[in-house]
Amino acid sequence: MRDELEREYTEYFQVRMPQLRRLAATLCGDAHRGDDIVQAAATTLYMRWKQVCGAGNLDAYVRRTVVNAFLSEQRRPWSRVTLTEALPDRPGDTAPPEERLVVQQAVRRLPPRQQAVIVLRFVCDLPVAEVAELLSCAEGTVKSQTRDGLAALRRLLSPAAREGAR
Amino acid sequence: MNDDFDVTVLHSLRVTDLPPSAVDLARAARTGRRRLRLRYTAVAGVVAALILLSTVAAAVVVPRLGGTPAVPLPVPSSTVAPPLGGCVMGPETKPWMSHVPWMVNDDSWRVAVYLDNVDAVRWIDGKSELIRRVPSGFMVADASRSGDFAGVDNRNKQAWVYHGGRFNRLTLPVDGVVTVRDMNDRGDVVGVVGATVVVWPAGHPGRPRVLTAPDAGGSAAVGIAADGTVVGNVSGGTPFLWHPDGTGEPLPTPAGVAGGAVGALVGDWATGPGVRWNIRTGRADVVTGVAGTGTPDLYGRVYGQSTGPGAPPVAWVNGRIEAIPEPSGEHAFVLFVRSDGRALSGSRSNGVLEWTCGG
Repeated sequence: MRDELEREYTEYFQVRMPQLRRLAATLCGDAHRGDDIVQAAATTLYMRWKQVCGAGNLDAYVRRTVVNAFLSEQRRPWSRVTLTEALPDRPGDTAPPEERLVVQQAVRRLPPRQQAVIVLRFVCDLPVAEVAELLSCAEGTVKSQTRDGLAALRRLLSPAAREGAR
Repeated sequence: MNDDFDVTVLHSLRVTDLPPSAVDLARAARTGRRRLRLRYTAVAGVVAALILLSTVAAAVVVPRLGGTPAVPLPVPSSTVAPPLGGCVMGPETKPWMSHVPWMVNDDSWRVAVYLDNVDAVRWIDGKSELIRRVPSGFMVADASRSGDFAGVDNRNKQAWVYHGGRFNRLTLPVDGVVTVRDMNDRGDVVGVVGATVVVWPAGHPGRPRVLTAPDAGGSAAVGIAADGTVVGNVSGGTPFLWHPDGTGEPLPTPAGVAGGAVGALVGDWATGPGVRWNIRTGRADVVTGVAGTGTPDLYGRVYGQSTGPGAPPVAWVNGRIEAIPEPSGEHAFVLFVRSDGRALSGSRSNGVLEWTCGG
């Protein structure tokens, strides 16, 4: 990469880094793994930076690369090492951090693209069209993944499922 | 948390504080340079091998297609929507929905297409047909009322339209990631290549038409109407309309609306957060009481979740909110709307929920 392009690349990431780290951390539920995802996306983008710069909507392209890095990471076996067969102990109603953990574990048990759809729609509050754009899929796919993801979450977070996990 | 699952529990997953960054841009650059060197070496090796093996010619046939006439839908004669007439839950009108995660359908729900491992299954009027020889990695994106469908490969490098019993590759006029966004009933396909909106007219997969944006901020399509009118967003979120002749103009933002990207198009109606446009008259109406971008039907009724307590499903009809029932003790979402508004589909605690509307 020529010096000018390399400088543009560095300047771009330095400005956007907080948003990209937050997106990745929200997707995977862990700030440190989120940084690994952004690191992978930054490497991929370095290799394509010349073409990426000419793509027009640079921010959208970069966000999509981060989402793809998250999905790729999910396919690797080590990404699931923290998953358990059962949900954690049932938390009390007055324990928000544990409640967060239960919700996070339930979301992580969804298939990767369903995870991404649920997080982008209901944690990041993005509209269907924007999620479709980020995942490079049709809006109908986002909707059906939403439906299936919410149904699975309801099952996983139902009192009966949590009782069985104790 | 109880059985009445509330999606706001997911807000607990929002990240408020981040530790110091561990992302190392210098390392990303070093790794990127090393991988590029390896790639160049590999490409050089492949080219040398190909030269040694002489020439293998691959004929690429771009067929000329004839259009498949779509069964016409009734065209509303007025921009004033008829009353919704009340909705009741069930019976299930889309049997394929309950078990198929990767499915698309045309707006009228006459046609549905999903992928079954390496084959595609197409339903027309409830009858299924297996379609073999699906391109590698094909992901279906949308279908037309005549049964044609379009999609891209899972790396977003190529796009196809299925018409006349075969997959026809869509020519990409510019470099970049390709997505197919919508297909109208006569078979026009609209998509985005890189940050450019592209229309592939029905029957001409090799003759893409680029729709220019008013500035270099990039553009994205959302839908294509029956006559080829395209709606989408430019400059990162300004609603925009391209006429069939390729000229374009911004969609107006009504007073009292903060503005927002167009997100859906059905018939002559497009919707965005808190707004509905008629793409024939150019009129923009404020939609109150529906959260985010609702889904319109052919008559301009807008469906979604209420902005009120509990966010139940609702329909906005001529400025008034009509309730859509939920199962007792459960929260329901409207996700799919048949274009005539007489059937809705969504989710409930234990899976799929269907509504029949209009008596």
